[in-house]
Amino acid sequence: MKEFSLLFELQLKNHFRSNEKSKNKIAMPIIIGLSMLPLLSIICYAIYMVMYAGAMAGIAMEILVFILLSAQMFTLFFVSKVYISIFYNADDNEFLTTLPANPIAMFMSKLIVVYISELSFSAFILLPTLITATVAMNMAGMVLPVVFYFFIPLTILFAPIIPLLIISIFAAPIMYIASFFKRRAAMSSIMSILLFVVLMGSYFALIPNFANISQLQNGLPPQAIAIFQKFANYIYFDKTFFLAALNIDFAKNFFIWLGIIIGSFAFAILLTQLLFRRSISAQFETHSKSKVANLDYKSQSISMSLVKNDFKSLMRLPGLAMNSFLNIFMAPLLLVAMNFMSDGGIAGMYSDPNSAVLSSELLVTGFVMMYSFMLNLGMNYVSMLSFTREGRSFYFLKHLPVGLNEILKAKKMFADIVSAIGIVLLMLCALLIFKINVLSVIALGIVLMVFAMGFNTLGILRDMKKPNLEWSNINEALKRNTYILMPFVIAIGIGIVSLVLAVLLSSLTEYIPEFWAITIYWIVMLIGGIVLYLVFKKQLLDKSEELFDKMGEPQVPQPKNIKLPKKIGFGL
Amino acid sequence: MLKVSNLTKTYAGNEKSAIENVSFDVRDGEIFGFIGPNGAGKSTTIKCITGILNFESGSIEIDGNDIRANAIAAKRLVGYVSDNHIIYDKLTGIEFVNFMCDMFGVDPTSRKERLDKYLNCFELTKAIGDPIKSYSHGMKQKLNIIGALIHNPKIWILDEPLLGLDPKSSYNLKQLMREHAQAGNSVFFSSHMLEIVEKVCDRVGIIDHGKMITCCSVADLQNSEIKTSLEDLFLSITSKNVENQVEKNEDNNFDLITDKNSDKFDLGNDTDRKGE
Repeated sequence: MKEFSLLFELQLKNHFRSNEKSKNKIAMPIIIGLSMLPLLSIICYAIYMVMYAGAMAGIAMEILVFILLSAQMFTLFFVSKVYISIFYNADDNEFLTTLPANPIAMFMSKLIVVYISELSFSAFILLPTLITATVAMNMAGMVLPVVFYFFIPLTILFAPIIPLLIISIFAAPIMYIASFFKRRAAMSSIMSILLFVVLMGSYFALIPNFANISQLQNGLPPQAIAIFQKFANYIYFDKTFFLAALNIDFAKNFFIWLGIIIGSFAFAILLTQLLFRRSISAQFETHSKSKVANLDYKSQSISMSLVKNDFKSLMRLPGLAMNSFLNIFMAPLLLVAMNFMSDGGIAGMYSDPNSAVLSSELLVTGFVMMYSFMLNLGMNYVSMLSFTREGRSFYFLKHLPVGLNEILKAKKMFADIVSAIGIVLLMLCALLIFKINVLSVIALGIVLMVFAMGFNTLGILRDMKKPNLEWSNINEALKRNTYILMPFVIAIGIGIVSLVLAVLLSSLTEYIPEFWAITIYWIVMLIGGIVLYLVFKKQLLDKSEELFDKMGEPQVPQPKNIKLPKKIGFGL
Repeated sequence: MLKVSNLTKTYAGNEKSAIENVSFDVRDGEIFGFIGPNGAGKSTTIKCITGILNFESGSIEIDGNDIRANAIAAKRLVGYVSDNHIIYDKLTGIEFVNFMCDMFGVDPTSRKERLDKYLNCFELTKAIGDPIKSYSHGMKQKLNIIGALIHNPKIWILDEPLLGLDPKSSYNLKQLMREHAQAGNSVFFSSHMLEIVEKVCDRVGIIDHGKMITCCSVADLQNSEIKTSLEDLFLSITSKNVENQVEKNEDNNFDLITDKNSDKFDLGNDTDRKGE
């Protein structure tokens, strides 16, 4: 127990202690939370409709199981990434294995750190959805037992446990896969991105099966009821939990659920005892066969050589690569999913289907623009981490006999290429799925690209102002740097403005031809994009030299009074 | 104190062993230098000794405790300074040292006494309350050493401990190593600085291509008729292809005794300064 508490305290301090001294820093979870609010409100609306109909049909428990399961599936996906980084790709494993500590103590200390990391995530999903479901049940006339309200915080607390236990039990194969990919980092990056795209795509593709919202006013169709009931029967641990929450055979169901949790926990610990140390040890076995190098003596321009080097280095850091390239796929995936979620296309979700006043093309364009700003242009980590991702190798870059302009040109070229790929996908979505006019699609591509160049310039500038070069793992590189998120905040603002402008102009189609409304929209947006790009470019030109000189300078803290230990205890 | 017998380790996916049938021992009161070219198998051997890596055959005993059968007891006897720095950089120096003290059960009196000694020795008193993140390369190495030695382990395993240390700290560490050995404990010291190894160590082991090439006393090098330096010996051994097992080094004008069965070279008597 002592070993566990010492190791846990160590992990806790190292993972959650903030190094930032700035009081004005914007908390990353709040920014992400705000950006996800539109999506969350749509999900809550869907849940309200489904739960209302479900409560009327007498399958409230089954729908609660489905909500919890969905949250657990998401948590499972995100937990697995954090789990692998804390357990198997962690830099402290080598140090920990030299300590005279029981492997279970090591395992448990890390497991709880993962649990705490994921608790906020599951709370973010479950709190609004469970409250919405509760309101819907009450509105449908269900009398909920008092115990149910106590079970809402319990659900949030226990939601990450099942995914955690599942991952713990499957730790050995995950470890093997992780060690396999550790020697093939570039392939790992590609697989991570593909896996994410497939998972997100599958999740979004499932939504229309459960959320044909407009038809739910007539009650749930029998097929849907059967699906929910089937789900609940399969997911027995969640079913017993909600049966207890609804005070149906409380004691029996609660103890069955508790038994499942304890049993899974015991099984995970048993496996850990057998496999954990061996699994950790296998992670150090990174020596691979030497291959005959494919020597290439082709010469390239300096900026192209820098871009190539930057790209290859990034691809060999799978965690960072996944974060850096996600923006390419996020906006198209979400837009396609939202289009399928509504009967009348994306615009139909927000406009009155009986009114023909609003120009649906402008509305659709507005939504495509808003989500492109939020999820593509504002989230380009390739620009936002331009120098941070170099880590300590930045010092190598700094001493190269290459002018700053060449370096900045290379950084921007790389970021612009990533933005451009995402924009091409968005143009294809606009053309093929939303059936937007070809000319508008071309205008969309040009305007987004101009804005992307502006945001990428800003991203590079922000990162230069406060780069985080002293990271030892990907989590640190990403977690500690909230300062760089300004482009993201600005992108949300401009995204909303672009939607509002589209709505305003579409309402004017009663007075001016639609062609002119659309033309005005693109001209205004293009001018906005050019202004934004020129402003940020000037800022970068003015400040880059000074910032580059300061980058990497150590920030030595003021010496503190020395406290020597007076008693046994890790904490001060 | 430390006995390594027929240690063989093959990394996953490799046909060739990283180390093969490596055997040596580190005796009580001795400083043992472990040298070899890059990729020779030094780090693999050290990682096996410290319990970081598993191995498929052979055995490692630390003061009679098998590293596999009795891992925790064996690890309690070891103070390991790795070539990697401490990665808990959100902690302060004192927090890290306290953590190590707690893990190894150091009582408050000894903790204060030893910490005072080491902080003075490595001139880290002023910075010990600062976050590790703010430390320089050398300061991190000093803290690494303090953390490893604070529980007064019987055997010190030092992997390139002098890298990054200033001359004074480097000198002090060498003094500490000597004091530790004189108190009847052992030091296992891996380094590429052959002059220091020659000066500080009682015996040296040379590893190359995963095989222990030779294990000899430094005193023998200096006292024998050959009168060669450790550097000459090292270069002559490692510049030869082990597979060829060239028996005669004409440039250095001394004979290497080759045991073709065990792939071991030996130089004279394998005795230490204390004449065991």
